[in-house]
Amino acid sequence: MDNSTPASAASGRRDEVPSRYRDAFERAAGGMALLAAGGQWQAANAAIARMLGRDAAALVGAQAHEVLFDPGTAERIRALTAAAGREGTDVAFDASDAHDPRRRWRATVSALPGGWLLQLREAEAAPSLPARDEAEHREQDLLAFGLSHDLRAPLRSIAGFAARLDESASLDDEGRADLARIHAAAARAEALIDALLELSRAAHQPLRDEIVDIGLLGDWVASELRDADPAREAVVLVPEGLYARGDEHWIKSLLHKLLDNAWKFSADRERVEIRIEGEVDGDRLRLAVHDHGCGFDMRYADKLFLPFQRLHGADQGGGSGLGLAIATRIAERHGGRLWASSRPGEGSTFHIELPAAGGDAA
Amino acid sequence: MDHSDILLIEDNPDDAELTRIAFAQAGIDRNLVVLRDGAEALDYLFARGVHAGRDPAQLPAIVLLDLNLPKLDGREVLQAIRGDARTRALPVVVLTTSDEPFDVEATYALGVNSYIRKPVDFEQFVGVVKQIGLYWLVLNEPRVAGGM
Repeated sequence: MDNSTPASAASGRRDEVPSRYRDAFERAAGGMALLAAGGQWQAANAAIARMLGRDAAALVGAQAHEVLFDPGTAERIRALTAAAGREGTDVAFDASDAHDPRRRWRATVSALPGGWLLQLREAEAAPSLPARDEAEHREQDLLAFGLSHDLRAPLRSIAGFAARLDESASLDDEGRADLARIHAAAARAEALIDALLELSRAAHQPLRDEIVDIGLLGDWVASELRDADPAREAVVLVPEGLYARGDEHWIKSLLHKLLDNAWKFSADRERVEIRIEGEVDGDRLRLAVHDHGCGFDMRYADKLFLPFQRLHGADQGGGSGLGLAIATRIAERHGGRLWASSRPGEGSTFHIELPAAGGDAA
Repeated sequence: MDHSDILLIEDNPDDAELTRIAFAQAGIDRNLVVLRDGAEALDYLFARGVHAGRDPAQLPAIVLLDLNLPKLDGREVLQAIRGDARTRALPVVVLTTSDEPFDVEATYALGVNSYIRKPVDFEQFVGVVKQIGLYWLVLNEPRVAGGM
């Protein structure tokens, strides 16, 4: 600043341009920082200082990202700035504050000659919903909760007293067969109530933000499915070393829905064969769950993910009709996607896209 | 072993009857006292109101508590039980339809001894009742109150 005045006075127009660039950098609405090739912060503008709640001068001089961001984001920036960047390439990813995970931004690191430009944008409004929406969600949750409670009570009476009748000796075989139908219907209704409640929770429950080991969850789900159907021969291949970013409980539930479907729709095969594959692409983790089950007709692929749309009857393994709707909700809540491809008779592949855990991409 | 009652606080008469049958099938031979709302349950435990003639030292062996009750709900009943020296040590098992994570955590925080979600399937329910009986009536010796 001090030595630029005599310099620009001396050399006239030539230096006005860099000084105008500096003003533009300083006053830009987006958060910007210039990093040296090794990752040291050389300059930070007012917007980024405001976003990070620090003084701009305090950000300069060290590898400030190490203390400002959560470990995943810091690792991401460390890895990017350690590599030799190809000029003109941008890498975008989600960043969050070291101490307050609710403060999130979209970060972009761009390779410049001799260094890096780090930009921060406020993340899209998703985390803080308008008050009216929240009130509506709250009401829906209460409704789902009340429904599940109040519908379950009469169901318990139906199933309980049917079981009691079953024990009385005066029933003939036909009577017992009727009771078995009552039993089965009560069990189906219970599963449906549980699924409705899960759909509501998947849509509204706050998500935790953690690093999620996909291989671990895949093995966990596979062993649950084996325990539930121990006589079935099954091969489930799960990759190691893939990590997503999100809520472990819900990502496990998502994998469970897909693997459970793959298992059920392989009923007419000699054995169940499921293969999970995955790759990291930038800040996205792409997973594919392949099976060799009965598959489905791609003409109905869109219907697959809507609540209560079934492509299979109960005798073919069809369930509540909510599993994939719940799975879609989970993927979307994580800022991801879920889609499927299939050939009838050959099997299906379900594709999941989720945020990758920072750092593993490098 | 003592033969004190089991107190069931449950407003749904079908559930109360099914619980009675389940205890009988589980081979637990105790008198089941059924009260239909939280206010009456507290009157019973503290021997006041319509239960004023009762001996308050005669506590049940265990309290089975539904959470959604008329008047005082299950959480309030639990708070009152834990808040009084006479009933503080009473084993309370929440038997409910809800498995909302919020409810589970909140009731444990209020000092419930067990939290059991009533299954729709009756055989499972008999199994659950057997476990309650085994744990709270056989294995877990009740703490003897001072005035006995």
